[in-house]
Amino acid sequence: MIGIQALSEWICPERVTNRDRLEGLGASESLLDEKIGVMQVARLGQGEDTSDLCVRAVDRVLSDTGIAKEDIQCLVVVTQNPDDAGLPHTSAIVHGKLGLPLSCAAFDVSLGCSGYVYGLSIVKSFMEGCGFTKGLLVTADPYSKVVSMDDRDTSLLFGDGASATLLSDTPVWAIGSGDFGTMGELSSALEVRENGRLYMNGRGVFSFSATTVPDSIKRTLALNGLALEKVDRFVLHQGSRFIVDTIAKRLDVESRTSFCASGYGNLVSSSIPVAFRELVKPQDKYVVVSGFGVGLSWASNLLTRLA
Amino acid sequence: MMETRDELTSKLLVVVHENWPSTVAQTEDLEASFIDLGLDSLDVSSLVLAVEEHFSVTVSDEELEALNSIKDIADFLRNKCP
Repeated sequence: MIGIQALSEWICPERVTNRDRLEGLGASESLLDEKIGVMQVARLGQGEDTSDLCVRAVDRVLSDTGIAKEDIQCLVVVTQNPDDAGLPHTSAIVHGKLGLPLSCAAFDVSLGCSGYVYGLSIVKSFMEGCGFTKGLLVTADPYSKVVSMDDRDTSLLFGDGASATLLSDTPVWAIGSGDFGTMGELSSALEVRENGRLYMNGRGVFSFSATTVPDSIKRTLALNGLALEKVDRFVLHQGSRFIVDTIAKRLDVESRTSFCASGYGNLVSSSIPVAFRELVKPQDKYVVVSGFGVGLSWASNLLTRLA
Repeated sequence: MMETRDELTSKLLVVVHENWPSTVAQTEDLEASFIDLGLDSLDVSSLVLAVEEHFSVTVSDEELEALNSIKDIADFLRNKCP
């Protein structure tokens, strides 16, 4: 069985402090503190690109586990802000920078905030289908490439970072059956427009998330035969403090759900693995992960700690 | 039977009380603007979502722009739920 053996992260060390920018953006202290919840956003360093973040995260997970690069059989990068114009695919660039073996499969997946949960099922299925024993799922979506610093709706929210998850046949976490979906007719609620800048309809994304995610989580638990009250932790995409709090309230699971991205921002597809490392306690056995956003799409799954 | 304005407003206030901070939700002035009540766009989005779910109505982005007080929402519902 293929599952999660280890996770690591790389959050860009450079920070922009949001409170210093509130007046210029016409935003209030209460909006920042109670709704956005992000005090600082992490930003790409000078000369850094998406692949560099991926390499940092992968180096960490390989170092933490002692796994050799030669043993990696597949590398999947989830991003919608690839190096340059996206050709070649960022996973190929990362493959080259890391010096992974020629036999290592490498491809990108184009998804946003739901991408990590999608990626878990994609990589697990791909590895099991190919008989692989060690693979990497990497997320890196530095939105600073497309966010306008004059846009209150997005520039106070998104941060830059990456994650790397080692999937193997000696897992610590089993990956369950996922619930996936898309509302393509609402895709323009979160998009990069002709000017190359990110646009977000905050109300549209909020309503989608508040109404869709609780039902997705309930379906996920039904799929996996687990009652809501048995879940130890809900690791939600860290979209904003308000959306995490709203979903938790609607599910009545506030004590098992947290917003933890105040120091770096919404890391898009990297937010769940980063939050997972921060929020999950050693005694937690059942963890629900749920990502939602660009598409508009969602993905939820149950991760179970193995003995 | 057509619902009276008071009945509908009472139902709306129940939704308001469930969704907003108590200090704001208990305001007696139904015509006070959301801005004057210290509410931001996400507070309003949250309330409107609850109104949509509770009253089975849809509020477009254009319609939302005209909803600036609890009274505005009550009037909107009067037109949508005759």
